[in-house]
Amino acid sequence: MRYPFLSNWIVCKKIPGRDAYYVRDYVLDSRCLISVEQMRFAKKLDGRTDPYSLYRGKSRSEIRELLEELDLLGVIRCDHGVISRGRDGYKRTLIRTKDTKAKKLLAGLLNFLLLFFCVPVLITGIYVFCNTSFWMCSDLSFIEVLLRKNRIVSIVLFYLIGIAGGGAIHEMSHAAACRAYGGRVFEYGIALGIFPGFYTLLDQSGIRSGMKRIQVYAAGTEGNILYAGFLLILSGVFPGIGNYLSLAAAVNLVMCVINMIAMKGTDGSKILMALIGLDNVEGYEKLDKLTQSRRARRMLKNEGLCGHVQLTACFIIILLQKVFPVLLLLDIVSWIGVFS
Amino acid sequence: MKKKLTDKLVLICPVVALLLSTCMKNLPLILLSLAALYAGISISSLSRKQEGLWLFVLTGIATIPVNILLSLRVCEVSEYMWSELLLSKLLFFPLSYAVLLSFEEITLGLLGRIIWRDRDPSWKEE
Repeated sequence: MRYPFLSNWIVCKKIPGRDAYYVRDYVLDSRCLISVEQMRFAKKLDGRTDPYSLYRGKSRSEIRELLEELDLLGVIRCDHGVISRGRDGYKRTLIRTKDTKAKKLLAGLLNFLLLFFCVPVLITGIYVFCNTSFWMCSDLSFIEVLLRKNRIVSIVLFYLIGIAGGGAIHEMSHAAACRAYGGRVFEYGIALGIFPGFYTLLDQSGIRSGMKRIQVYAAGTEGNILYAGFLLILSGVFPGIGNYLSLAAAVNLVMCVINMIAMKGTDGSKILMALIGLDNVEGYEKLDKLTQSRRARRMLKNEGLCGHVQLTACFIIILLQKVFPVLLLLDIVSWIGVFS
Repeated sequence: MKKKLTDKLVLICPVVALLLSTCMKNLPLILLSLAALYAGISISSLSRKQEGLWLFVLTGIATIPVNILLSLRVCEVSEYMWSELLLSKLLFFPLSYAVLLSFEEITLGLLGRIIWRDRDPSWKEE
């Protein structure tokens, strides 16, 4: 995406009786009105065409001004697909997506699969993996020989299949659940920080039910469980490469566990926050405010037992969120020490 | 006054029962106490419209012995598998405790959500 392009985070509607469009940006949470002419120009921007070649009647400075205005209003993106870089880590848009009826139908089906089939598929996978000789139906000895020749490469390859496939499925599952319940999905991308991975930009403000919001958070883990189950079934069916496939399945199960712990930013923490009614954007801020401000603490204590309970809940969540990263780091260091 | 005391007792009794039944390592009693905890939260007027929040806090207290027992067991397994170093045991214990706590909170909280559908507790503004 060399040139500016129409933002995929917006939804625009023509205002009847007026030559203007109402534009709402769901990611930046902004609203604005732009003229039909501006919108027509913005719609022509696809990221591959030079904007100066699109508008023949205007000078370069006028087009530059128009681009700057549209960028300021959030109608177009001039970031070349890079959402953030520097301290916050590197985030880049890979696939821009739009909601269609067909996608919504497919998302509903996928969400149903995730909800009701993830655990049965995992159990079947474990059963098939444990009874390999019974299920064995295909001989892949030539692949086995190939993999045995390059053992380390094979392990790294299947580890990557597990982690990359698992990451992609995780994000797609979140998107499917969000779409199925009437939310909006804007894009998929890669994020490079301390841990590299994928991300999905979605808006679930339209999902009113708490249980449905929780399912959107949990869908990623369900997707990983489903993927691990399939990999285990495959490892039982193709015992020649069974060890490698089970490694990829194990990677996915570890991803599930890590995702379900109550560390800041994980799905587990989001589910916990949703369970106690703090899963909105200000949730974490509110937690910090309630525990750090003496006035807020006193106010809660004056509420009686209910206030004390709220305060205790805040402290438990903050403790878990602060303790987890430290403990994980210390444990990893100690394991490295043990193995070295 | 009497009603308030009853409400508090209804909430405290299942927690105490859960703590004792875990110390006795009696599984049917643990499950019964857990059911009593849900029933207590449903009945008590103190936790009305804040069931999820109360369940979250009471579960955190009531599962202390279960988590200690399970974490010690996990430590034994890790000791067998990786190392007998006291330091790694000391580090592994709190991690497994925290992991177990978050899993229990999520599982029991989800069960609570199914029972008390869509009741978000209201949080006080500063």
